[in-house]
Amino acid sequence: MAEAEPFFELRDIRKDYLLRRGLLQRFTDSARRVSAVDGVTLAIERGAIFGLVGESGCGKSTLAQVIVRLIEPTSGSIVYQGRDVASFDAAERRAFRHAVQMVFQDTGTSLNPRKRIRVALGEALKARGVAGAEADLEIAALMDQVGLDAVMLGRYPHELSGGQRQRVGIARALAMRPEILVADEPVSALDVSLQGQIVNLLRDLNERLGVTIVLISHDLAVVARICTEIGVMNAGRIVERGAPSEVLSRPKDPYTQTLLDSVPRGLAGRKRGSGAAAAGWEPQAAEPDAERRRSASIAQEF
Amino acid sequence: MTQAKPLLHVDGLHIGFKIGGEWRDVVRGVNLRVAPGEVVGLVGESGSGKSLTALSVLQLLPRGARIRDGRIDFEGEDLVGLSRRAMNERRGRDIAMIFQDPLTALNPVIPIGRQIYDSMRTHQSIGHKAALDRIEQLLDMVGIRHPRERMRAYPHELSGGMRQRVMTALAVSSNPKLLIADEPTTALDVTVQAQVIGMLDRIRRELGLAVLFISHNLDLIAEICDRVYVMYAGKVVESSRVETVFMAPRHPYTRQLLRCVPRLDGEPGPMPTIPGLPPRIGEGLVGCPFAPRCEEAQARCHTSAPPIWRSPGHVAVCWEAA
Repeated sequence: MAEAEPFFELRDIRKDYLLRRGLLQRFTDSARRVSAVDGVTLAIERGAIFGLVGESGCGKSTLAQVIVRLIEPTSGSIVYQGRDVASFDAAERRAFRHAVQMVFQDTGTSLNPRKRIRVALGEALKARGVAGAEADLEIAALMDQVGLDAVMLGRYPHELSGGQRQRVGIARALAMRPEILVADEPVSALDVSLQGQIVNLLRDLNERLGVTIVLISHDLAVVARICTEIGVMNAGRIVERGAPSEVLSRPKDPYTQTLLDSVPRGLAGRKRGSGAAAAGWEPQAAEPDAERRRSASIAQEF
Repeated sequence: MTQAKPLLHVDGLHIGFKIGGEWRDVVRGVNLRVAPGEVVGLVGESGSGKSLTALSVLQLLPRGARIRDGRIDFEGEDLVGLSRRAMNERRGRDIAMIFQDPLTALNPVIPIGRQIYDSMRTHQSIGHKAALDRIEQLLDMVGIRHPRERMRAYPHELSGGMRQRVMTALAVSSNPKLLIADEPTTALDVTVQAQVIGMLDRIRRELGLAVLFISHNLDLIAEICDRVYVMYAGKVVESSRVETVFMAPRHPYTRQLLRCVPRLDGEPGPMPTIPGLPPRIGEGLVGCPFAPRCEEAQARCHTSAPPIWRSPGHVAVCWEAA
């Protein structure tokens, strides 16, 4: 652990949302708050592949958006290369925006359907001040990096397969020459046969370019394969973290065990003939959490 | 394998789209059987034709797609060419379907109880009070607590897993004989997926339902299915009992697909993949369609169509299987 100057740090990050209540509560300030992220402290080393695992509503996507500064945390600080991001001036903030890039789950909506791939990548480069012949060269290099043929440049997003679109999403993020790539469920919309291609690409980019990766997923089996460290998130908190082998073989938190038990196990998990009748019930114990998560999602931003 | 008279028997099914004035088949001669009470898996990648095959059973094919050839026998009656009215009756009563995305399948402005109620009153001769009692019972059966209160909930007030339970309750409300489940858990978290699979397995036992379960994940298929059909580029390339397909797959595609499923006991490092992409619609297919991506392909695989290899209860369409 680089004690002296951690590369990227989150210190006690909270993100609260205010529940929309009746008129009275709005005036009397008695509205309830829900913490989507509830005090997360985390240090990520340069060059790491950090896996963030948890269910929908656990706050992992909110945390991802805080990391790339798409949303402001309610409290807590982000420390990048030893300095608090809040103290950055305008130029430094812009540099930070370039350095931390996001890859989204749904490339069908995160790419402009009416723009050819060449234009989508060109715009990203323009944001970095690269244009003209120089941009063309760099676009070609980017396509090569993500393993796409140059003929794809003239195509529209709908003409590409899901896996190809995800590669474009990654190329667009790489166009900013990022230090950190935050990938929010990059493979959960893809066929199993293609998931590996994208996951391997991320791993490969990490090795070749040294880019730090934060990989967010609900699938422990995917994350465990390529991450150097994983954090398990539940109800806005990181409940467990460590090396994948550690966490998978000796989970300390009961929630991690639940996640492990949920991964389909093929023949080993066969229900045929077994009397696992109770397995299909809505979990009672988790109900308050489920309510809470649901309210977080319909809450209004504070 | 299926000695019992099949409930559903799809025979030589071809489904095509008209592209540039010419028919291009995307399902190219699919045969499959589902016996009463049997759980059958249909596995393949996006574009393999698995969803079109399932939709064609209910004749809910998307605009532009047409059944070009073949039979779909349900209880001995060919559904192809059935009148709209006769088909509507089958759809509501004998065959039901649940979809990947319950949010778009459910009406967002009508409470869930009402949606099940309307469906029941349309398809069955059932009184008001009896319908309400039955809905309560159904919601309870799919694992929704406090069903009386939840009947008044709108779809957006429920989580993804709960919506899938509601859609299942709606689907089985007419006591169908066959339930078609098209990737019912793909949009869900793994923990919720495990619950929904458990629920499906429980209710199909209780109701004696036959299920055609569609997924791209073989591990999931293995958890609940008796038999499985593996589809590639519009054809069934291998079919057998689930145990056989897992322990002794004969088609290289099945083997490669099995390796891709993310497993917890996998070694750290690169994930196994199937290189390349499935063929595009209407691409001229000579030889075996999987040959360009196949690790074991020989020269003949690229030039001539593979033979059908058979052993009792096991079929594979591959040169190397023989």
